[in-house]
Amino acid sequence: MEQELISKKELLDLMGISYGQLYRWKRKDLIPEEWFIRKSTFTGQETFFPREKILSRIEQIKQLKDDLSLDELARRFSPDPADIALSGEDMVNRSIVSEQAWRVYRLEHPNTKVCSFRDVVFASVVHRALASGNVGLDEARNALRTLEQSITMFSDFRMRIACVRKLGVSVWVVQGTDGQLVIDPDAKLVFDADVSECIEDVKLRLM
Amino acid sequence: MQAEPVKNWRVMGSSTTSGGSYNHINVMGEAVTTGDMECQSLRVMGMFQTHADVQVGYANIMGQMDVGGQLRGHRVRVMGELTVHGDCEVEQFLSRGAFSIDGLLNAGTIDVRLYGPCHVREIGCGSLRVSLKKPLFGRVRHVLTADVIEGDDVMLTYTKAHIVRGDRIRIGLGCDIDKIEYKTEYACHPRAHVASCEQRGS
Repeated sequence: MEQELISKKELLDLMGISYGQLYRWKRKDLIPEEWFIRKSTFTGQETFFPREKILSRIEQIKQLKDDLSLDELARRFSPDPADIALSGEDMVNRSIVSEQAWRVYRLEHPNTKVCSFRDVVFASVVHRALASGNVGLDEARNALRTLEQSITMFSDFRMRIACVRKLGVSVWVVQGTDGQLVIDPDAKLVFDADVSECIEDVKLRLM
Repeated sequence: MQAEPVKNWRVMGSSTTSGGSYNHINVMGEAVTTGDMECQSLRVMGMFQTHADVQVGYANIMGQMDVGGQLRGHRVRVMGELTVHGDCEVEQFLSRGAFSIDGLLNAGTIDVRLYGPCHVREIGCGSLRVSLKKPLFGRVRHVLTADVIEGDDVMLTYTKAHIVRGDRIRIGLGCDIDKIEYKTEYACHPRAHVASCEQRGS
C-alpha cells in the first residue's frame, strides 16, 4: 500500500496555512499522529503526510472552522464512538448503508431495530464491502461476524479489515491500523478497509 | 461526559501509584507512577517520575519531573527540570529552568529563559521566544539545542539549531544556525552565526 506523500513545506504552500495552524490542529487531534511520517532527506529529517488524506482533511477543517469550535471538529474527526442510535430505515435514508447491506445485517441479527454506534459502523463496513463489488453476500455476513468477535481486541476501533481469497475460499482478517499484511502470492486481497475511515464517513453523514 | 475527578493526591514522603485520574496532585517528596495519569493541576516540588503518558491542565514544575511517555496539557511552567521522552503538546509552555524533550515540543506559545541547558529534538509552535536569563553572577551561558524549529513568530537567542523555518524570524546574539527558511520577515544580529538563509513563498 504505497501512498503518495506530500512534504510539510509543500502542504503549507499549497493550502496557504502557517506552521502555527498546522501544529495547533495537531494538538487538538484534528490531524492524527500516524499521518506525520518522518523520513530523512538530504536536508535532514523532514515530515511527510499521506497526500490525499491530509489535503481533504485540511480542506474540511478550513471550511468548517468558522462555524464550529476546534473541539467540536476534533470530536467529529476522531474515531471515538459517538453517542447515537439509529434505526435501519434511518441508516438507509442517510445512505450509510444500502438496502442490500441492511438485509445482510438483518440476516445476522433478525431482531435488531435500533443500532448503537458500534452496530452502525459495522453495518457501514458491510455496506462498503458489498459496494466494492468484490465481496459476496455470504462473505459480507462473515465480515460482520468477524468484526463483532474482534472488537474486544480493538476496543478503540483502530483497526483494518481485509478479505483474502484463495482457490475460492475467503478469509477475513482484522488487524491493527499500523500493521503490515503480507499474503500468500497465490491468494488475492479482495477487500480492504480502514474501520476508522468508515467511522469518519459515518460521522460526516450524521452531522 | 466523564465525571469530574475529585481525588487529590499529595505526596510528602515517597509514594507509587499506577496512575488514574486526579483533581490536584502535589508532590513534595518523591513520587512514581507506572500507568497513564490525568489531572487538573500538578505541582512538583520534589521529584516526580512517570513511566507512561501524562495529561495535565496546569503543571508547575519546581522540582524535577521525568515523563516516560507523552506530556499533554494546557499550561506547563518549568522552574526546575523537565524531561520528556515522548512528545510534549501544550498550549503554553514557559520555562525558567532546564528541559529535555526527546520528541516534538508542540505548543501555541513557548517562552524560554535559559537558566539551564535545554534540548529538544523538534519544536513546532505559534510563537517562540528564547531569551537569556537575567545576569546574576558567573558567566555560564546555557544554550537551547534543537534539530528543527518551526513556528510563525520565532525569536531566538543563544540557540543552536539545524533548521529554523517560519514566517517571521529574528535571530539574536549567540545563535548558531545551519539553515533558515523564512516567509515574510527576517532579522539577524551581526554576531550571530547563520550558515544559509533563504526566503520562500511570501
